[in-house]
Amino acid sequence: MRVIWSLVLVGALAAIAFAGSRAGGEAVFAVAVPYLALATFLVGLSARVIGWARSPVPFRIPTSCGQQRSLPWIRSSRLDNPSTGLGAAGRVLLEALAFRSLFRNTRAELREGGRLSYAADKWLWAAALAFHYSFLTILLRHLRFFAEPVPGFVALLQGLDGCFRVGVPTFYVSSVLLVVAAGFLLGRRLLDPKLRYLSLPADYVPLVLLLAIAASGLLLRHVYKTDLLAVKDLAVGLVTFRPVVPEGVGGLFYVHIFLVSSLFAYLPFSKLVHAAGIFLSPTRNLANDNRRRRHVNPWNPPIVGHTYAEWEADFHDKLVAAGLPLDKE
Amino acid sequence: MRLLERVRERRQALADRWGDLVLSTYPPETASFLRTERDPFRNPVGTTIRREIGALAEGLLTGADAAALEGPLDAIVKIRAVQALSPAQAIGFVLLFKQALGEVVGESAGTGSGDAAARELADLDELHGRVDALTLAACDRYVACRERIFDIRARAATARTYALLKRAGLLSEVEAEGAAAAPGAEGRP
Amino acid sequence: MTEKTQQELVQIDYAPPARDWMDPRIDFVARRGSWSYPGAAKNLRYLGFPNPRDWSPEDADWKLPPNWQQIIHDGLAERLGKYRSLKVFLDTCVRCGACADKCHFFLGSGDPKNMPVLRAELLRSVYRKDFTTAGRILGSIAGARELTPEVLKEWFYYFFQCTECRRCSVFCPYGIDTAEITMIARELLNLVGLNINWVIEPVANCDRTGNHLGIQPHTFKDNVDFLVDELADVTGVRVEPSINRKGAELLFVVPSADYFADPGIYTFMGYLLLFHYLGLDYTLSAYASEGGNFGLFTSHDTIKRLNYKIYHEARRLKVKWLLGGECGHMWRVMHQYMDTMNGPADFLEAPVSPVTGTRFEHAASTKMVHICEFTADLIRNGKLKLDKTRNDHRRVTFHDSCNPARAMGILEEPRIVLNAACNHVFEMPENTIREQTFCCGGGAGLGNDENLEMRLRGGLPRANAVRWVHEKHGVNLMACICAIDRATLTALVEYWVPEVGISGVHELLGNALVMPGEKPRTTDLRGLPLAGMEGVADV
Repeated sequence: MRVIWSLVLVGALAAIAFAGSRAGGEAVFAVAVPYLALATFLVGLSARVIGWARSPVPFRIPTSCGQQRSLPWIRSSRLDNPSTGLGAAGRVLLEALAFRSLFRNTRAELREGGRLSYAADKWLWAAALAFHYSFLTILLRHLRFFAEPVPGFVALLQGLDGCFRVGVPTFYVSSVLLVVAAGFLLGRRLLDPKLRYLSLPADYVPLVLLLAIAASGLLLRHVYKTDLLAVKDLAVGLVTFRPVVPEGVGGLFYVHIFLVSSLFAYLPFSKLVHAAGIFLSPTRNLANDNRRRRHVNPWNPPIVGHTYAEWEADFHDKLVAAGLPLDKE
Repeated sequence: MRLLERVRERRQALADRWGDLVLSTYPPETASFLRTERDPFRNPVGTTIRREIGALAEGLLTGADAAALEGPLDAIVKIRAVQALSPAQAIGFVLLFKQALGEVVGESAGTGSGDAAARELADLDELHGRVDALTLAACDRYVACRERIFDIRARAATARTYALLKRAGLLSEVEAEGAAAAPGAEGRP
Repeated sequence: MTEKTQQELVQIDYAPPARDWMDPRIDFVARRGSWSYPGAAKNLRYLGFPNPRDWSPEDADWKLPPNWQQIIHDGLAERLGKYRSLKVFLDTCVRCGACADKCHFFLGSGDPKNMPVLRAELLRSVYRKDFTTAGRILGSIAGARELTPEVLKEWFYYFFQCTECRRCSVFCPYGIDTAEITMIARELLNLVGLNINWVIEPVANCDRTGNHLGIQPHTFKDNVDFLVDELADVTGVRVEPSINRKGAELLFVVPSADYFADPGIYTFMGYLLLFHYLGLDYTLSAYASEGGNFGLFTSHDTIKRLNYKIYHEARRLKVKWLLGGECGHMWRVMHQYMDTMNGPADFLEAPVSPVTGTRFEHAASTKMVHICEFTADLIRNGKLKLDKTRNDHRRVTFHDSCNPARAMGILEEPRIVLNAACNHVFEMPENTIREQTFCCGGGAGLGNDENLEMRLRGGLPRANAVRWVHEKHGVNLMACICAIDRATLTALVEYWVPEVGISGVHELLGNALVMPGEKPRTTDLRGLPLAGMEGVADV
């Protein structure tokens, strides 16, 4: 049921772009909307990150996922239970770049003779990794529209990405991976009852939106081939702040660019901020050196417990009877 | 014994179906996880139920005696006796065997006329009789489990925590009046 | 009744209805055995906590203050400004489901709201409604919910159904820690007078008498003396612990269960033997007579209030450093909170083992060392004479307790001690130990009797792994380094694997430690005959 909302929403967005551009709103969709979206993205994301950063970290609460650093002859786990800032940085990077925690999902299997073997249960990890990296590749590949001359690494990436040379123009590996991975992630939410139960409309929107973006992009490249030169003029115009409204790029192109703009504008207000959140997560980005170095809480409240003197007064007679030493006779 | 033989040939299908039915008594969001996750340590409920249902199905078909079925029965009832299930729900999983059986042998079994049908009906009666006996055994196991829970409660509340204190002296509670009470005793249910 | 309709009845009866999670309805009467009794008014009054009254979750009216919604709203706003963890954890969850099957309560109960992500969503949905634009405008489409009495009741039910074990946090790609969410949610519940007696009574007792059970100083001394007598019976050696002695080198702090509850007392005997063996200059305190801190299950302010006495007493007794016994949540507090809350401990000295001269650099600031770290160092330096065969009647497995494993990472030290003291040690399956360890099901104040069914559900994944090593290796004892474990696991195995007992690590060390001047031992510290001594021991 909740997926319907996202389908309706994304469909409506596409329809607006298509109809709007047909009705003479090309300038709006080609120039105003991307600028607005980018501004929303930048301002929104900064506001979000600043908002997080404004709340202090009163306590040092890393989740330790390996042996602590204690006695020098016991091997400690430097990345999963870092004892230094550098180790913690490594842990966050491993998390951000390789999705370390998702990789931890092992599954035990009972073998002949009651032996146990541990197999990787890494579907989620693999799909998430494929999804994010193909998305990154596609983003970088699009830089070829925005820069003239095309930077060397973009050309290289493009070459690698299209190395299979299937179809004319060639299909990119990343496009296929993105669609497959996003499809897997969406399918998982729809077919696994426990995920269906916990998924919100906000969980379907990004996936449906991305799939729609990918679909429109693939159509533009392989079916309704658009005028790439006109697109490049637009892109270069946008980044040089001398925007031109391209001619003859068709409604589908406007759908594509509008959906991309929507994604960027939506990001800071949605769960997609997890991209930034991982770097600020106190269970991951702090070293587990609690007893080695004192962590300071900026708002440490002046709380005093039941003092010894009060306690001694409370139990004076009993302390005397038990022969325990007193501070006050 | 034609029907029994037919069922024995399909005992795996029968056990699988029975297991599915039992696991479907859990909330649907969880049931599929319980049905599909094969790691015995990640999914103790699902894998235990499936394993022991298999043993019970085998026992029902071969007419094993009650003692032989006690282990598998206990393993399942033990789990269901602590879960959020009514006694009937906790024990009733046994009766789901009849539904699985019906689905596996076909609804028409034992409904025709003539000698063959009569023999089928007798087989069916025999099997159903064993299921009824197993259901009663499940009642016994259920009550035993609940009794053990109350035993554990009673022991935890008295002997374990208080043996030493009784020996050594009295407790002082915050503003306690009268006899010392176990933690929690003052908060009424 | 024909057979077919009978089958239909069975089927209809058992398939539970599918319901949206946002629509809460907890029937507390039907769910007896899975919630804890509310905090008694006298305890709240003593502590100065809000809204002390006589109430029951089964009542329709929970006697909340009239402006309770505002109180919780303001409380949440305040905490969003104080804790980055809360803000980040509420904003970043993508509901990927990686945590879903990691919670022991989910695995044992099958209740989908025990999936960690949904437990957090209970709070997150209210946060969205009150603090995000999308939630305010779009409501339930954006996953936002009004804080109704039903939602609040659901909070009480499920936030007192989380043991703050942090297992989900290990698997979360953003490190979202449900323990942190639960801690804050419990703070909010406390603001309107919703808490459980098993937590709040120990808190009140601990504040006044120094320990959870309300043991007064003379009783504390009697208990210690009693254990000294018991030790003399078993070993022929009379140990001489001191209490509240000024000028000792170190103050030894233990969870109170170690000196009054079975089987914690045997662990305590192990400590006493070890210290006597070493001739350690230490003192116990009848004032700082609780290492545990149920403030952790109440609010951050309460943690600080109860933890205050540790450094306060160390300063008064003029000791050099602190040594801590085997306890899980105590060590979460000592390791992650104490120095920040009540430090700096600049009146103490950086801990150095008087036996080996080892400087415990990793505790240089907090000045508190875990007994397993201390003993592992002794073993490494060959300072202990151990007779492992005195544990040959035990086939042992080790349960990593949640907090030491996931809020500290003390994984090897207890294993070093265990392997030095026992010949037969076996590990449980690897996805049930170390940082992936399963909770006992009774942490965070849930280890009470009225909640036993829930504990047995939550403890099933742990018990299931114990059963595995029991069947495969004949394991008959599970050692752990947590006082809550020693109490709750005992009930747990009694139900699921009655062939297995529970002990502390230093109990087994005490069995193996060859004391100068001891009499030939025929029994272990529990009075059970040693292997080969079955006929000799006068049990």
